[in-house]
Amino acid sequence: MNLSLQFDKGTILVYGAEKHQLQFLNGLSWDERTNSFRAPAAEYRKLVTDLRKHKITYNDNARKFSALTFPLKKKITPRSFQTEAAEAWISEKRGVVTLPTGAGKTILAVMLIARIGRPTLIHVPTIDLMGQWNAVLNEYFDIKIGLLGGGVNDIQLITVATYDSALLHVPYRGDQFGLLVFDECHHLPGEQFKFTALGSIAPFRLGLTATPERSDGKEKVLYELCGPLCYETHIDELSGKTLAPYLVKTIEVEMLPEDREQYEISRKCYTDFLGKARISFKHPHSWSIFLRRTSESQEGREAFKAYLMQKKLSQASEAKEELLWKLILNHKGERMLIFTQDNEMAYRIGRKFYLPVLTHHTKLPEREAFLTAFRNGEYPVLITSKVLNEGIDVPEANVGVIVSGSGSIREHVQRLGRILRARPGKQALLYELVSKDTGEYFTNQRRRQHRAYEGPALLQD
Amino acid sequence: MLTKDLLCFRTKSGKIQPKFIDTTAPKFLKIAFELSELFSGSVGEDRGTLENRSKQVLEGFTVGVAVGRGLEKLLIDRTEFDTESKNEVLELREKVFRNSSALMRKHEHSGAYDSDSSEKDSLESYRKAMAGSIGITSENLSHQLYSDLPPFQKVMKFRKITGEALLHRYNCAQVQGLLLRSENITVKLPASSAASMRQLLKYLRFNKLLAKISFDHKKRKPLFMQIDGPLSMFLQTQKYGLNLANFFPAVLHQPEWELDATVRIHKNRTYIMQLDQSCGIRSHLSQFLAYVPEEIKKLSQQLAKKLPDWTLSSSNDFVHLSGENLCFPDYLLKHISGKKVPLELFHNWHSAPLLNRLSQLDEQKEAPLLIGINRSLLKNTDVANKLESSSYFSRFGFLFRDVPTTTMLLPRLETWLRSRL
Repeated sequence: MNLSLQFDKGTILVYGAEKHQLQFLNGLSWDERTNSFRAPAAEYRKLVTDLRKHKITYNDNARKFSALTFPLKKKITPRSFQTEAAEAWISEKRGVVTLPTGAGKTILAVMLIARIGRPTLIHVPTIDLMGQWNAVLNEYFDIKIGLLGGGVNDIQLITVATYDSALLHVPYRGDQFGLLVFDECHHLPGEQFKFTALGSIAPFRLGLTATPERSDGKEKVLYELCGPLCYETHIDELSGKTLAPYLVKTIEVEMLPEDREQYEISRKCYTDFLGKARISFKHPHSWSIFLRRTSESQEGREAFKAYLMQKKLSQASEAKEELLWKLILNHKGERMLIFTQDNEMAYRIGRKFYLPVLTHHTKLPEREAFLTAFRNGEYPVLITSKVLNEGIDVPEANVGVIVSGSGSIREHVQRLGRILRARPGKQALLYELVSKDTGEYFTNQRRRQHRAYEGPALLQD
Repeated sequence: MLTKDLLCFRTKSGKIQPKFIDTTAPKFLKIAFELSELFSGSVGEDRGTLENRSKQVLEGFTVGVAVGRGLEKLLIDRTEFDTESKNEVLELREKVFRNSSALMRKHEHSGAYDSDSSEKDSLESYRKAMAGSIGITSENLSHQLYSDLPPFQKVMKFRKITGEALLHRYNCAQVQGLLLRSENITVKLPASSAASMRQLLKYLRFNKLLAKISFDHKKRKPLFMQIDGPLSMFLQTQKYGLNLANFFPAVLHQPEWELDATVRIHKNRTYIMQLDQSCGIRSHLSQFLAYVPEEIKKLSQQLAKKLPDWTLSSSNDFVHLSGENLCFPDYLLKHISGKKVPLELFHNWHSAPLLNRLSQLDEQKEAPLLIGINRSLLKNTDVANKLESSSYFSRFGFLFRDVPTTTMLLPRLETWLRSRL
């Protein structure tokens, strides 16, 4: 019997391998649970390359796709950096391309899908991005585009899936696609998401992101799963050309007296407890130690409540709301995105100012209606917590207000990216509201450590 | 399942032990009873009210916060909420946002909400104008604008549970919460019957797990099962944690069992969890031994009509094949003479197990079972080639389209009977 390959729940089973052939097939392990040789599905490309190299005849029952043509119904005139990125990727047909938000990552992917001509699965982190990719793919390809996620299960030759849904389906569908595209691919090294790449036999892989760096240092895993970083360009290199020039204004907001009093009381209760319990946040496990210690006594529980209260007051003080209203009035006639750290604050602003709020609670039809109304100017202001951090294309937005946020550099860069898509004559303006003399100052310092907030592209106020 | 913050456990000397609650203690039974009564009667109420009332119930008892919230979480998991947005709220929002945009545009140059005037004043006049355009007070408008968020969602359904069963479910969820963070488990089964073992392996397959089985050769029965997933042999992973957690209630059906798991609850540290049947947890999964698929009912009827010498029943025994391989055939065919032969069926999703089985059967000296193979598997060239070359299949196997028929079965039964003469 010939050697044969079979796809099995995210792995490749190899049958009929003779002893002398095994020396050429690296990455195989004997699985005594099933009495067969097995390898992770991602090893398929290497396995087939080795089989061909050593002229070993084999039956490929693993691959359920073949070469196709995907003609473009609309011509693409790539920008120079898109051409460079495409050429850099095509040499290995694997790799990560780093481009800032608004630089045209989706169009680059469309070019490469057409060029590679294999059934393609595109991974996206959110339902909104799934809709956005679907719209672009429909614009360029004359075939039905499949969707997987948000209650839709329609697999086609080109399919867009959320990472979550792809993860559920990869044990069954990991043999059906030849090209995997990972949008916002910095998500890929996550403990679970990596299996969407590991469990698929797709030999060609394209990772797209504006920020491949991860706080846990797992970029290495990303490059193992997707291929090496093959092209990179930054916001400051494209600002004023492909991206709009921008200005960042940090406004320190003085709390109202009653908020300040409450903040000081809560802050003291919280920091006194830290001192008493000898907890320093320089220690790597300090957060879990803090959580444990605060649950052990009444005093601890009070300290935890105080921690939440001082955080809430610094992130969502009434003074910030007053200033925000002033900014809304100052920018009448422009398109403004307002970002908050959590849904509670987003809805509080929405209820107070009677404005649309977009969070994960917003159902798909209303979400699409909000974005359309924002794009065409019917709704000039849109409030969101996290769901617009990534990917969503709102080129009309020119003013961003960060009312509150985490200390994440990536989130801060992504939020800036939302207002940078170029438009003739557009100048983007990002406000950061920081409660004066609070811990929020340090959070803001941490998240600004990126060349987008320091570089020469930043306009002077 | 319980979230990490609701897990209660002890760690000591590299071991981890879930903190179980006493399922017979009156205080726990009372709180579980009151909570499940509250949820049972909640259909039609909104989520916010239910959660507030549940909080009040919990405040009336002196159990740990995590225990109370854990019980509440398990009940919420059994509750179905109406998450569809109501048309009237959607319409209100659309109208409000159009009005707010129009109002801002209209006054873009008039200075009515000018930034030079006091922000408070301009906001108040804006809110009044907006409320006036809808015809309600500004406070009511703020309240109604997002009145389809989770706290306002109505309870549609609740899967009832008794207080005692909830306490068992809680203890089971404590174990499951730790198994979610485990890489593999080892189960020792000193007293399992073939029938309960068969059910366990069904759950194993259902949860897409694999097992390395060690045998007690003297008693010719399985002793240990080391359970993980297909990719586990290549990397240490908690990927199958959810599968292992879902599989655990099936272990609880075994008469005697011991379970070992390595749990990574903290980032860089693992702990050993050891449990056995003395933990007394009752499984919330029902046993499905009694289920008979439609195809088999039909085959049974055909046999009674056309081959009255044979009867068909579910198989409760396993067949020991070469090496350490076990086979749990689906059915048993019994001849009037008392001779019995198991029947194993392979459907279109069974190509890998079928290839394995054919290799094992070709090594057998005797014929331990008959195999029926769905024709759709012939599309797989590996399967087609293997069937063509398999001497076992040519004598004791047959193909079927939708349902096995007596016409296909009869020649194989005759061959098998002859082989037993």
